[in-house]
Amino acid sequence: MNRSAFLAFIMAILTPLTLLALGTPAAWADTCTGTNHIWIEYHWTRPGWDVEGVRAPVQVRLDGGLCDGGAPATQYTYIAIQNPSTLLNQAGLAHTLVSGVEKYCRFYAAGDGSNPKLYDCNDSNDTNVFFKIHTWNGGLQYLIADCGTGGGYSNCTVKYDQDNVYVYPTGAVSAEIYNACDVHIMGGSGNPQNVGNNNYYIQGLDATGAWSARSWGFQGNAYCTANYITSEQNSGEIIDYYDTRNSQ
Amino acid sequence: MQLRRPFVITGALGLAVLAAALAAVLTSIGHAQAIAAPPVTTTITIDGTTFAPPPSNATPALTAAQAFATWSPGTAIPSQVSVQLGLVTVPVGPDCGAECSNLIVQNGIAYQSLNELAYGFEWSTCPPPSGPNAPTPSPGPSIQWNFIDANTGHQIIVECQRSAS
Repeated sequence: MNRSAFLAFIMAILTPLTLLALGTPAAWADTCTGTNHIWIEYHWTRPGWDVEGVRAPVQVRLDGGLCDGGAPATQYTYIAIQNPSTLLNQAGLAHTLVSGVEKYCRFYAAGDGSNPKLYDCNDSNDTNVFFKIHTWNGGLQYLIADCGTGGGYSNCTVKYDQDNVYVYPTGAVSAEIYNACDVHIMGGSGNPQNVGNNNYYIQGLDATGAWSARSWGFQGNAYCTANYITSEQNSGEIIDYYDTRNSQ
Repeated sequence: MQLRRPFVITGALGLAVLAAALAAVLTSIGHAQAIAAPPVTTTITIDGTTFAPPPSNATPALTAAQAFATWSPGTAIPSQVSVQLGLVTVPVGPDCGAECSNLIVQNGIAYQSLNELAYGFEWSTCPPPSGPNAPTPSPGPSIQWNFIDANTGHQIIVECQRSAS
């Protein structure tokens, strides 16, 4: 065995052990320079303010990208009922860091949204997770429920049901981004992240008790429009998001 | 240049000793992680969720490292993350009847988890608030708690303990 072969032999042994000892490398690489906190949002309102529920499947897309050094780099995609001032009930998917590991999780939040609660961080790519938010308790309070991935809303788990209904509720579908435009939102041009799909449109509930597709209006944003792309089909039966920098 | 046989043998033995030593270190790290999950000593309350001291005889089926690896396969506990063992309770709110039928209901309150033996993995960075009107987080320190069932490795919830909480 010559010297170079011997050294190669040593490196072959030590390199993987060193990497193992150092732990898992970060999965994100870009440096955060963007500081904008933005929303790519659609709203559904009613003249009589009887927005009583919103439900939709939100698609898991395991792409996008966080950035390092500008914590907390995060992206949320969700459905919500919001009060125009400060309050909301929302549920959807989050791309963020959990225990220092880059994850795609389900989440919900209530109150003023200051403490989103993450869970189930291991969904598969392209899975549709069904969420619903609607009034209960005689129309006095909202509940947030996760209806799983099986399809439909017959097998749901309530996550939170404490908030009182709002006087001026608005339905919302949104992609929310911290550290825009450095954070890549989820979805690629060939496979965007869908909220709603051809089998299950985004639906709203009004005082008649009927869930049906509604008319959603885009709330424009002036940021990152070269990278963050969104569209709606049939006034919001399906809302799509993707990032031009994502390749899948 | 050819190496002499004694040098090769010595080198090989040296590598074997080094490999054994590294294996021992890694094993001891794994063992340390297995036993380095002290019980939480006082109840921590975070936005309704509680993390309480476990019974003295609590014997989780999984070590903290195993629970973490079950939650995130192939991932070791990062060095910046510490862990404690305790009982997690996550309230949903008032019992909502049929909608709450797959939850734990006690005294009119529905729970996602009630005194579930769990590891609380602490990290120093919380996910940011969500929603267009969420308040800007206070600049003070925060703790992200990632609660994972100590018997199954199933993730229960991630909570953020902010300095203002």
